[in-house]
Amino acid sequence: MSTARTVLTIAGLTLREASRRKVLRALAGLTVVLLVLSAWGFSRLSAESEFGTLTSGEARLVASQLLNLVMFGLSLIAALGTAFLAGPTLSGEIESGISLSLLARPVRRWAVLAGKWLGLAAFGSGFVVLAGLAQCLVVQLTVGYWPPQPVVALALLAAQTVVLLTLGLLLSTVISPMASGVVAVGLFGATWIAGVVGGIGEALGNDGVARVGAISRVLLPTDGLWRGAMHAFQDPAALLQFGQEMAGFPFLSEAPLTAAYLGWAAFWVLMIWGLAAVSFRRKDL
Amino acid sequence: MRHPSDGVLRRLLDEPAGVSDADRAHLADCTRCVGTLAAMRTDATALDSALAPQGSPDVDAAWRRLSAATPGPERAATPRRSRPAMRRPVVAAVAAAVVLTGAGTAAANDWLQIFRTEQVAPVALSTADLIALPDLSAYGDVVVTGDGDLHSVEDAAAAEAESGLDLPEVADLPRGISGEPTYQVGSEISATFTFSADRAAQAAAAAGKTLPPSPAGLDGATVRMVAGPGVAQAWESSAGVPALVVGRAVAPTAYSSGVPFETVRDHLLSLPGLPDDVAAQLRTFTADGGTLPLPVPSDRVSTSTAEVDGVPATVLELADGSMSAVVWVDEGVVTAVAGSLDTDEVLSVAQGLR
Repeated sequence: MSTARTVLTIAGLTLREASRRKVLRALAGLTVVLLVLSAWGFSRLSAESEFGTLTSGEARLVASQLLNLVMFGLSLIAALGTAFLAGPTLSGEIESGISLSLLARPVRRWAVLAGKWLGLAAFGSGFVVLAGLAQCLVVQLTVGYWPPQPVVALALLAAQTVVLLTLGLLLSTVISPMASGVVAVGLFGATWIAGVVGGIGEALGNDGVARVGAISRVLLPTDGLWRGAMHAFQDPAALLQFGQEMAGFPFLSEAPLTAAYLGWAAFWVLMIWGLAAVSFRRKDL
Repeated sequence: MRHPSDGVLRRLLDEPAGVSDADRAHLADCTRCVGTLAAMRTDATALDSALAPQGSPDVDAAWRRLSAATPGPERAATPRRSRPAMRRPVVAAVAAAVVLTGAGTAAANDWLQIFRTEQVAPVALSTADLIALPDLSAYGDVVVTGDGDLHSVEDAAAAEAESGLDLPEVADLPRGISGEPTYQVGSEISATFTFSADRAAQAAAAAGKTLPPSPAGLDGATVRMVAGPGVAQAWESSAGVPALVVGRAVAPTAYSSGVPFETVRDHLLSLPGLPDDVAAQLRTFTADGGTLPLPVPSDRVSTSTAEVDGVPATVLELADGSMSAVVWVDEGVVTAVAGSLDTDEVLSVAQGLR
């Protein structure tokens, strides 16, 4: 059997496995709760008398900010989901002994790993794109705001998920399933906080603190990709309106990503995947 | 009745002896579990066939080959050394750490730019635009009389008295706008412009372009451009920016002697190096008040037409929908309603003006 077919077979099996896990139901449940709550919130935003002090143009700006906020909730759900799916898929199978019977066949270990990665990437990206699109539609129906670059934004969100699950896959080749999930989500949160700290540093003109954000975005590209996605979701007028007063606000992204950074993110995924393959290659089953 | 778990059902395929009698009895009359078991069996068969080795191995021959090839204790270490270094996890991890450190250093020193620097120029329609003159001093002699002098006044009566214009009264304020407006008045401003082919050629040379030939009689032609007086009332929003501006001014007009003004204007607009904002201002001046009497950058604004009190009006909307405006000219007076509103709201304000 050719290696490509092995990869596709394992990817298909991973997708089916993921769709049968309880994590999927939890993900779907959380997403529906988030969508319903945000739909309610957005419809109140346009109706509530408290927001009667906003003109329709200003209400759209607020809506674009809230969309970023809700999308962050969504990306958090996706991060939790993929990290806890990626963890058990390798180390769980090693613990339960499934790998022993699977890897005894004439398949290469890296092909199995590539298949798992492909399946999880398809699953995670699919989830993020579907849920994100649903969220955009909710906002369009309730307040009539449509993001300027929805395709770019959803693609970057999907890329963020892929980055995190690659890290989860690497961790699951070295540590136990639960620990790998916890570490991946912890790193994701820490990078986000470092990004916020860096933003505050930029707002205060403190280069040393601003560097914290830049370095963390390179070490783990989730926060950088998230900020790129946020920039594509938000109303460009928001920067002009809020830019000066709200510098350093974590749900306002000032600029789109450079091609160099996107290239680095792709290289990062390749490098971490390669590391996972090397680690998995010599793993004792 | 409780169904056996997926694990128990799977055990029926792999280790049938390890399944309790109670679970087997359940399976005998539960169609759902039988269905699940059938799906599992299909999966198992699919997986077996997908991962099945091709051909049947000759185990005895393989064992003989292996026995013959088994290295002695002293040779056991050699293949380890010959393996490429990058395949050793420690080496790979160290290499990845070095790459990450290098990239981190690059980011800390701004060698790796994460964000593109991008300037979003605001599309600002200020009250001053109603009575502004284009800066044409690079293309000839300009003599300005009157300075526009935009300033705030106390109330509507003072604004009307100073400008000599009727200040439109807004009947119903749109949602989100309240309070008292501020009033601004600007006086008439006019400029006499004498076109100089030499100066225009210099300006074109400074922009690195050559000048297109001037139409006959243009060199030395004089035009007079007049704008204002104007009056405006503005409502601030909670964010401190004008949420609604209603302004009225005498429409910008141009008079020429000798060469028609359109000839001068079109030639100026065709010149290389003319700044965009100057071009936009220049387009607002007409001999008959025909074009849009407000300078707007056409690339970021979508325009449509409507009717206000039987007069054709131009409706402008920013590409992102955060601002709109409606502008119309009636008997030489231009009236503009603009704000962070949608087009329906500015139109209803415009139609409700008294």
